Amino acid sequence: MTDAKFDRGTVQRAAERGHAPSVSRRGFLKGAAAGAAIAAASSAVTWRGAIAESKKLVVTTMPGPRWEMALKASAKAYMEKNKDVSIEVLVSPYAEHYQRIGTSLIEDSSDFDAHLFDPVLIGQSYPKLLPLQEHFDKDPEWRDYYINGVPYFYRGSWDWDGVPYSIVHDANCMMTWWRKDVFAGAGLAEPARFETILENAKKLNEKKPGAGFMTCAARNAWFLGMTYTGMMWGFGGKWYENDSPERFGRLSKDNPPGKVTLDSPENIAAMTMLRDLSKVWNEASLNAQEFENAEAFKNDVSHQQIMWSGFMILQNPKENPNFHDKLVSRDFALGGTNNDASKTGMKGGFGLAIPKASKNIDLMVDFAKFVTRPENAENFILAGGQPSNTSLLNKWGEQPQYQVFKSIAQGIANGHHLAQFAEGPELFQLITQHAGDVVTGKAEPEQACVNMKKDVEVLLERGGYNA
Amino acid sequence: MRLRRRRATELAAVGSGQSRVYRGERLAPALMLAPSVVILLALVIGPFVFLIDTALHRQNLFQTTPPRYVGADNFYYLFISTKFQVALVRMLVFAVTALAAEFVLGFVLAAWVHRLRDLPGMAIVRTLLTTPILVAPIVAAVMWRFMYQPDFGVINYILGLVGIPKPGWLSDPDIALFAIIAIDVWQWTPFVFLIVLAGMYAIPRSLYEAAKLDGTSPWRQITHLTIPWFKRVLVIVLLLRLIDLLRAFEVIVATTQGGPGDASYTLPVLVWETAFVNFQMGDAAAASLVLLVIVTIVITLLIRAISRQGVVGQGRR
Amino acid sequence: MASREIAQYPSSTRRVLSVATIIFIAFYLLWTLLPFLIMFLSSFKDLLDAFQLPAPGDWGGVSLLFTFEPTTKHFENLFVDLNFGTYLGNSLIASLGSAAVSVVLGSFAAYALSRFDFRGKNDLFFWIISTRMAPVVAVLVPLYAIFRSLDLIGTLPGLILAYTTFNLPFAIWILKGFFDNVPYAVEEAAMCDGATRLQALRMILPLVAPGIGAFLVLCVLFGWNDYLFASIIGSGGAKTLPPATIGLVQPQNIQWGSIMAAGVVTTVPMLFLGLLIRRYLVAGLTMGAVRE
Repeated sequence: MTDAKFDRGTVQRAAERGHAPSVSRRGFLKGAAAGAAIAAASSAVTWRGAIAESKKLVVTTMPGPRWEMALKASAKAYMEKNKDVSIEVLVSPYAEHYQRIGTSLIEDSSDFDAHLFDPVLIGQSYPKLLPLQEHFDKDPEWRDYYINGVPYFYRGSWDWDGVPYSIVHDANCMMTWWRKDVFAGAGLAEPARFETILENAKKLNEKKPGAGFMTCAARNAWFLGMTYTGMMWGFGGKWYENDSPERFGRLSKDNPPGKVTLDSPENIAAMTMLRDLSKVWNEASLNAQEFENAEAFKNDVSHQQIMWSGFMILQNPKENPNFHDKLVSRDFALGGTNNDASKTGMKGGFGLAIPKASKNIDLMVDFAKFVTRPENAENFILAGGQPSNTSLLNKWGEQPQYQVFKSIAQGIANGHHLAQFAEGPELFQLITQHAGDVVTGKAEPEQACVNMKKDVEVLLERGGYNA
Repeated sequence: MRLRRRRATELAAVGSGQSRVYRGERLAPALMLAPSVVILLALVIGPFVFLIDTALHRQNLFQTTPPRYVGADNFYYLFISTKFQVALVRMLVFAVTALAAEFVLGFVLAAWVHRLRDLPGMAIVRTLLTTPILVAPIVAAVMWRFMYQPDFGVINYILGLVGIPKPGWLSDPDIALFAIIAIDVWQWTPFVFLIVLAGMYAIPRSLYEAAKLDGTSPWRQITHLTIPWFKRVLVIVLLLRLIDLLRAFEVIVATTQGGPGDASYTLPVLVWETAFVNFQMGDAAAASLVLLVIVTIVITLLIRAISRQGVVGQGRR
Repeated sequence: MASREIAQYPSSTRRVLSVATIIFIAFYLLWTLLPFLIMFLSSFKDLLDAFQLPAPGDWGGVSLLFTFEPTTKHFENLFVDLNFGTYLGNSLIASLGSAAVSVVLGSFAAYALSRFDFRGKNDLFFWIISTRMAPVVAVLVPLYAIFRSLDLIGTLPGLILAYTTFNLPFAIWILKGFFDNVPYAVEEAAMCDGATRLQALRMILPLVAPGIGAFLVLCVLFGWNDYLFASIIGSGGAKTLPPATIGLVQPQNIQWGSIMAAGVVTTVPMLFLGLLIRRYLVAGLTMGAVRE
């Protein structure tokens, strides 16, 4: 990249700077960038000026029916009711979305009135986010509807120190899906336990190779880490001693994880089940993302899956003309020695968080409340949304094409949470990596669990949690 | 930048492109170079300094507290991690296999197209063969991913026609890396082909005629005529490809993101995953520096090769 | 068989070899073009049609690939619902802008490197070219931070500047080669008549203009096809076609038809440009190290 002489000088200078605590990060950054500023500042046209005026809301989201489409439909309905308001929905894919949130919150995020994101970042970002309790209390009717409807074990993910920092937008969890016509035809049992899933898969494969089971695996977006965590929970295992639902996967020095238990018998049993499933699952699983699994269902390739609830798009006749009414779901399966149905699966959804610096706080709170209200439910759901309020979930779940909502209502109260600390993404990545070793035949379940435990211990040590 | 005056005799002796300083323009080269150098300094050296600083800290992208100085810890944990060792191996396998395949195919193709150069339509064939170079790598990756689908992909359909079992191209850990290599080979063999072909045209036809009269086999023509004649360019092309392969990233991220498991997990993927999936900027910076050092070594070799041998088709300057 | 070679040596082994050669090239051509064919066909197919494949071993079924009701709905979807018009515009502005900036700044720098002699010239020259080859992914983190502190994230000027980091060294390197090929005598004569250096530079520009045109196109190509800078620096306000295309690969709903259509939109202009400058491709892609 550079010629060697130059490098040595810069290495040294940078090292000196690294030691000097007086140089602030931003100051240093600005210094390093000053040169570029000369060249570029003259031509810099920022798009800031154009947005964030009063009566205009800017909300960021990820693409997909349950976020983008539901939010856009709600915005449209809201604008029809309030003619003087305009709402811009900025859509960007995962990495871009999180970069935008992270980097805008480092400043103050005054360009945006709300970010729709999962609670993983709450711990780092809550000082820049608006505490909502006061706004909830201003509207007791809505507050009670919201608090009673969204289970605490779900909603609490968006709280910090008991203060809500976000209005939960949608509900999402992992569950089991299958084709009821195929199951009825072959006389297969409802997949309530992993042992049944495995047995069913073997029988289905006999009729048609690759039809038995499918999941999201490989490396993409830690799907396998999520699946494994849901299974671990369903088998009665834990990440570490203090991994309990009330803590929402949060860690700090005062709230240490305790001993890592990723090599416990329950964890090994879950990993062994994953290995056994990998021997009979559809080969595409190893590099499948949700959409690829969707194609496999739509085209009559596979008949039993573990998948996030977003898979419900396949119950839409337009998306899945042939089998939309034959696809059914239930909450995540149990396994091994665990018989406690309140401990299984994996949950994760998005909430609307408002930056403190938003210039339209009251309007934004009003819009966020509107999104979750029963009167908006039809717009929200028909666009592809999955409401967070169990009263809505259970009501709409009566209709056959929304039967999945009942599974969601169960799943969000029971599922394992995401990891809400700075190293959380890395924790999922490590689990994905070691579970990946098992499903690709690189490691036996016991060994993989031991390796995984070691790596996670290093991670927690570096994060300074188990001092 | 001090200008050096050259002797007039030297100036007179050599034809073109020689310097002479006219009065009052000592600063001219500095002024002409300044904008470019400033931009490159700011956008290349600036990040480099920043990278080293970041590598010495533990820092999360979303962290609101100041980054913690950790010395060489990030490097230590990188080097002891299995994923780093895997990534290094995968990166080398990826680069070496793709390089070999591209060179062998590129050579065979060039030799045979050159042999048939007088056939009508060969100019069109040549142009068609180079089209993959023009495709955005990300689009190439996506269109191959579409064709690679195990159950619906056209490739497995074609294999099915001739009764070959259908592999899961991107989901079988033993195949995935090579399936990605095939995409790179598809896209960049034409590059090797074009250059080798250009070289073959540059070799005087009489040499080939002589070889043919001697009854030299086509293979010997390549090993004894083309390669020696063309060695300088080959080294350059080899290194250019190697640099590109070592930093190959888009094609992997758009197909497997390093999976299944760690089957296609190379160092650039590790850097990207650490920075933009895990958001651990310190760790990512440390891995970036390792990658930079590796690529810089190859670049240095390339620059040596170029500066020693000059530009092909022209005299040394 | 019009090959001169065969006419001269009509032995049967040679004939067989030639036939094998032609078959090999034909197969290679097929494998080169098949992805394009699939992409183009699929972009005009309904999604269920696109996955309509005949049973294995059914040779007659090949025709199924070609029998479908053509639809332009994916292109409509891209441009009407998905804002691809804007992305196309961004791609154009960013790649053209960066090409223009690079060629203008690069001309001066290349001229200086070609016509003047100063200490450290070679080191500087090689440093410049080495910046072209740095693994972008390795410097993304700091680049992102620097661009952010300049408020250039998500802006077209930011993207133009980012593309310039790889186009400028390329332009300098190539243009220096051009200037080296122009005899110095032309400028010398002019300057003896009292022309300034800039006037002299302007005099020789027409001599290198065709080459500059071709390399302008190559710079456009590099910018147009870039994904990494576009996804990080352009993220948000200055999205270009490659990140927009990959953005259609969504966790919940993959739209293969639209993705293939986006691939067509991204690829076709570059295919035409590539045809235009095919004579310069070799020199361009080897950074001028190889000339035809």
